[in-house]
Amino acid sequence: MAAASVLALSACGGSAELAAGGAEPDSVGGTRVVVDVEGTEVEVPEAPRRVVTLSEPTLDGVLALGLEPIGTVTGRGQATVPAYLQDVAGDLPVLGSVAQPNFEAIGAAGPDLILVDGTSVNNNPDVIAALREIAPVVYTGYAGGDWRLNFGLTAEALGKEDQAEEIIADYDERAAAIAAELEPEYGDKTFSIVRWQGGGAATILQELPPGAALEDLGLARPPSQDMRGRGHSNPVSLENLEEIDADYMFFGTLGGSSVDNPQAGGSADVEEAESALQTAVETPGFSQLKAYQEGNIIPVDGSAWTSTGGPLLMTRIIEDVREELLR
Amino acid sequence: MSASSKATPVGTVSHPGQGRSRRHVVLRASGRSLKVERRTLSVCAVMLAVCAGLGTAGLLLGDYPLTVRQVIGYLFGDHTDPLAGFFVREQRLPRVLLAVLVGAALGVSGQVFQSLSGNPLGSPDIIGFTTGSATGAVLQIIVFDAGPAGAAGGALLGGFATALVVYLLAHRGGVSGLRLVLVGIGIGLMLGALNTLLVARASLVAAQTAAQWLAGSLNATTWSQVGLVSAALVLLLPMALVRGRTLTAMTLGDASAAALGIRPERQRLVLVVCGVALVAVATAACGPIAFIALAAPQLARRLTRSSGAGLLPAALMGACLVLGSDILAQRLFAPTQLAVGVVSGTLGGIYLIWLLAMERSRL
Repeated sequence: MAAASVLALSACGGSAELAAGGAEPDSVGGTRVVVDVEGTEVEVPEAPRRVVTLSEPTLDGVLALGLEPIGTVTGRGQATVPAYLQDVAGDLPVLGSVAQPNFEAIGAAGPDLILVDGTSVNNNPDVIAALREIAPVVYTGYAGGDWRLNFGLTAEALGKEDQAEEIIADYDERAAAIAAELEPEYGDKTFSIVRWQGGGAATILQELPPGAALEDLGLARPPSQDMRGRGHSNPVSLENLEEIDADYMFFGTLGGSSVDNPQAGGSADVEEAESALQTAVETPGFSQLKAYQEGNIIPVDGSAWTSTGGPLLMTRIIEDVREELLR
Repeated sequence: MSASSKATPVGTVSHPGQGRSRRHVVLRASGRSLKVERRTLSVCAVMLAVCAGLGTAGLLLGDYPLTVRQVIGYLFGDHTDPLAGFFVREQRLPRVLLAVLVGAALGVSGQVFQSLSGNPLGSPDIIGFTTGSATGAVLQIIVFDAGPAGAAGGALLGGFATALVVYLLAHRGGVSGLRLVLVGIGIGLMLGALNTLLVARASLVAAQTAAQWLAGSLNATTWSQVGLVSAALVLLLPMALVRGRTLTAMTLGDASAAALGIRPERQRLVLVVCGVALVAVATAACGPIAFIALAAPQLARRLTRSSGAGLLPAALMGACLVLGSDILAQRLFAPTQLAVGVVSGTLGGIYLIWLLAMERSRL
């Protein structure tokens, strides 16, 4: 490694500071400056090769751009990478959890770029400062922020803006096409997104990616969810259970893991949603819900539907909707 | 109180024969003398060794692969790999030190309140002070959008405010231990509910920050945190430690204490303020670390087999427990990191169940 550092040093005087940062890897070429969402000017390699993603949206974004991160963190509420990315990212080294990145494991992986956003590390300057000791850190977005902007900054950090624009355009086109197909039959219906966890329900409001996806598809939400709330899921008291009701209900769960118990396991996939649904039905009042009585509860992958992510997640959601509603 | 026959009869220090008994040693320095039970002294020595051992383990263990020799080198300023130096000097070392400081503070605070209330459950984490500190911090994070420093300030204020409320409510011509515990548990539960409500009603960003803070973590410890906590402890620990004897005398009841020349009300006030400040500073530094204040004094007492209010053993035990819990938290599911409060909470929960079972069989 020492030899590699020396080589890197002599090869590019411009990135001397990076090389001094430790495990300077084999990215070739100079550096660029990216201004991240917090306004910090970050000097990143021309073409980063060893990227670590510390949040769901950045992992999703990097994978969408065709790169494989050298390490990432577990998904929200899960002990592994997010379930919806399991097939593409299941083998990636896990370098901590979404709330507590493991600095030493990240350092040992030797990244040349660290991507993180407000959905994992927020308002904790100490954590960002520690990460900046390891490699350049680009903070790509705020929690509950627009996924397109987050993805855009992710792409800019990687030097792949053009590709990102294409991906977003493809998504928009696809969403518009599905929306047109849905309109005749579902134009006057309402759609609820519910996360069932720990014996209770929470609704997903509009600014989380799944809310944005339904909006892109032109699907209406019931009044209690047709709002930009405080940016996250809205816990619903069991005596107000009718607030989760709508003509159709997308129903997911996020396993049992939390900040307090990241190893609780449980999973977030469709099967888990089905078994959570069986518990939910036992709850007084649930079987009176219109969506239940009309057989319109659709179990979905909670890691995609009730958390956060990037273009892969958005595509997954609109395809889920197409498959479920336009069969 | 069956152990009282074995305990040091405090206040009889002037009996010349006692100092030479086999059970005690007399430490003399600059004209002052301190009589200590031999067993307490050796237990303290052992705990100090355990603490040093755990501290060393904390310095050596980590996911950035370093040999023992390398760690020693980087501790003393080796600069071959700046990143390794950063991990050893700026991450592992302050983290270990903060664990020791916070553990000692919690142990002493727990001992102070358990002795004053004469109840093993009269510990700041049971009677709501820790929860109150958390409320202060959570309010800062959620309402005022504060960062770590603001949260710490909120925790200090919250701890003191809660202590004041609990004491005022429990006060009825003096504070009885049982009243204090019951009122404290009630207030603690209410504040716990308030914390949950605040998090549930907060914006996503703030809720996330608050939830992480509430778990109690030593991740990303910085030297400035260590500095602030040490400064507080340099002031508070001696203030409490010199009152160890007073505290032991006060466990005999105010009348007996007064007969020994102690002014119970005044000493109690100093000890209470000290105890609250210690738990509030510890909570401000790294969030609520559960159960240390409850378990450390009692484990220490069981080891020393002393009925007195041994503050030093409680401090050492607290330091060992937090250090040990933090190492477990880091290594148990590595590279995934737990929060230290989760591990100490789990261990402490088991201890609490055992304690309740014992108390019950005694009734």
